[in-house]
Amino acid sequence: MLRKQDLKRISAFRWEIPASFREGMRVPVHLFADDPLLEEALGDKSMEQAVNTAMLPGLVGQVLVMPDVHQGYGFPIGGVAASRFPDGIISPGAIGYDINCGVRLLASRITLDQAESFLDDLADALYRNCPSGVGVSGHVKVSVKELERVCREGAGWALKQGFARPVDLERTEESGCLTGADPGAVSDRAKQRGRTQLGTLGAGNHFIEVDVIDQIFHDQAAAVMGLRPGHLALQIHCGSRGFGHQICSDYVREFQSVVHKYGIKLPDRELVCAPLNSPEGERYLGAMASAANYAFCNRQILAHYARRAFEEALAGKVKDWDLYQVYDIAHNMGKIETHRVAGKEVKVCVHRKGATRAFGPGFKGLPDTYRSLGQPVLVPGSMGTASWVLLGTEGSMENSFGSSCHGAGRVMSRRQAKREVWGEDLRSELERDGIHIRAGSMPGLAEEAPQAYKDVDRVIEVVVGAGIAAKVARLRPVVVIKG
Amino acid sequence: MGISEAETPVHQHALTLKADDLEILLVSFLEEILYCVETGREATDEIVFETIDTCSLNAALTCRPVLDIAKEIKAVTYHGLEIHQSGDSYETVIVFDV
Repeated sequence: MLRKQDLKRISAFRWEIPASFREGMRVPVHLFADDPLLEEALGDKSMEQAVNTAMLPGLVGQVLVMPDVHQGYGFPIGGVAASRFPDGIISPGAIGYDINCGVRLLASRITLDQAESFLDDLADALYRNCPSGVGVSGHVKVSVKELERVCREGAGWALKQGFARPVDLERTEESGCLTGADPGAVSDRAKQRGRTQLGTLGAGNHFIEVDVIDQIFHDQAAAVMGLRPGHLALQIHCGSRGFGHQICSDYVREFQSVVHKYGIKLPDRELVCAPLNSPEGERYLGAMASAANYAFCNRQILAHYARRAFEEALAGKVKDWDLYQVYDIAHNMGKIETHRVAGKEVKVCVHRKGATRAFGPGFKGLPDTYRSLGQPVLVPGSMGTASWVLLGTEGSMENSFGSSCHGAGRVMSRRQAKREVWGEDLRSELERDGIHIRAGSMPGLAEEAPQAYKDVDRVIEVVVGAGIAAKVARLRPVVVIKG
Repeated sequence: MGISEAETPVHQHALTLKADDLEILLVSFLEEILYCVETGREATDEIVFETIDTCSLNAALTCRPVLDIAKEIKAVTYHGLEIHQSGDSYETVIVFDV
């Protein structure tokens, strides 16, 4: 376990573990944190995992660790690592089992005052329309052939099927479709798992949440995003479901022997990788893009059914019950991007696992609406605490490969949370605070208790203090749907 | 996973696996069970290993329909995975991504 004295403070919110700390490290590790969050980061294996990650071949710059970090499998959740393209590596474990797990935010023109007496109806309608829970199938079941179209087209497939509006895709990272998807690189097992799960939320930490806009910090950006104080918004947090889980499992297994083929020595089997320009690396990139596109499509279909739920619960009761896309972002993804490293433009594969792309103003790839502002960064909290809307900054481009945090970050294991929290009690407490809960499992609810997470407001102060994001709005939950 | 199974109907499945080492073999075996539960909606509580060594196994699985699953498992991981021999048995801790 690392100790505080192993890190050197290099600025108010940035700490370094030099590459000389341990033999085999190829780049330093930089953690964004204040003192309390540093202590929390040192409380589990996440910093040890960041040191192990720094041993991956072909990395450039630093391994970056966000303030919401917690330990993952091999690679810390809240980690960012960039490898040189095309001769660096790609590691499935550095992207995660839930490929393109991400968040979508939709704004509304409904005030909390108008909707308050209908929130129970809205919670019921969302729970009914948006399938959640373990082993639950969605409204949309597809053949393998159709699934392969989803892999290639992402949210575009949903648009063709009537589940999306053009502006939804414009306001989605990569317009809801990564290029280079190769369904041929996806196993039959993954396809079978994915065929029936489109438009499903799943369980665990995934959720649909209705929030009220609590505070605005950036009037211009909030206006462009359609976020108004006292109005409702909706967040959808989920990913590529069993499809992505199977793809990651398949390639983690395959790469166990691939590392020997390329003479790569690693301290942790979950970090297995392949050169980006190897046949194995290229196949994984094609499979990962397929899962990423599946996830974009999944969140799009859920957004469609969330709109239907708003209509069912609020039509005739409020003037405009529609939901307007703000943005959709991934926080588990590998992307080929160009960044400045040591004063030079370098093409890299940025692995973000539990970290959000946070491109600053003026960068290609941002929709016209947001190009002069910077990319919206969506940071959900826990179900009883705030969520945040941020903007990517020039500082994030200079200091963090255009990346920022993705959430509050766990401080308590799921097992510990279940020991300390009784699901029914938690639901009663949240209901007393005006948060309407619908959940398929009370133990599952306990696992996601607010006390199992870090203080999201503190996490936000760090990323803003470090200059890698800027505040736009703070949201607080009023309806939470869990699987 | 907190699985509830029906008593019948019962299906017998033969499983053959090969792997580079014992850890990969264990993960691959558990992945088979997970796939069976999630896609086939079948669970097993009777497994007969007909042959098993560090790199391969042949097993007969008795499977029953799944009625309910309380806990979703996304994946079987290699997180800290080490298998130790203790007398004529093996011990390990396996971590699932949930």
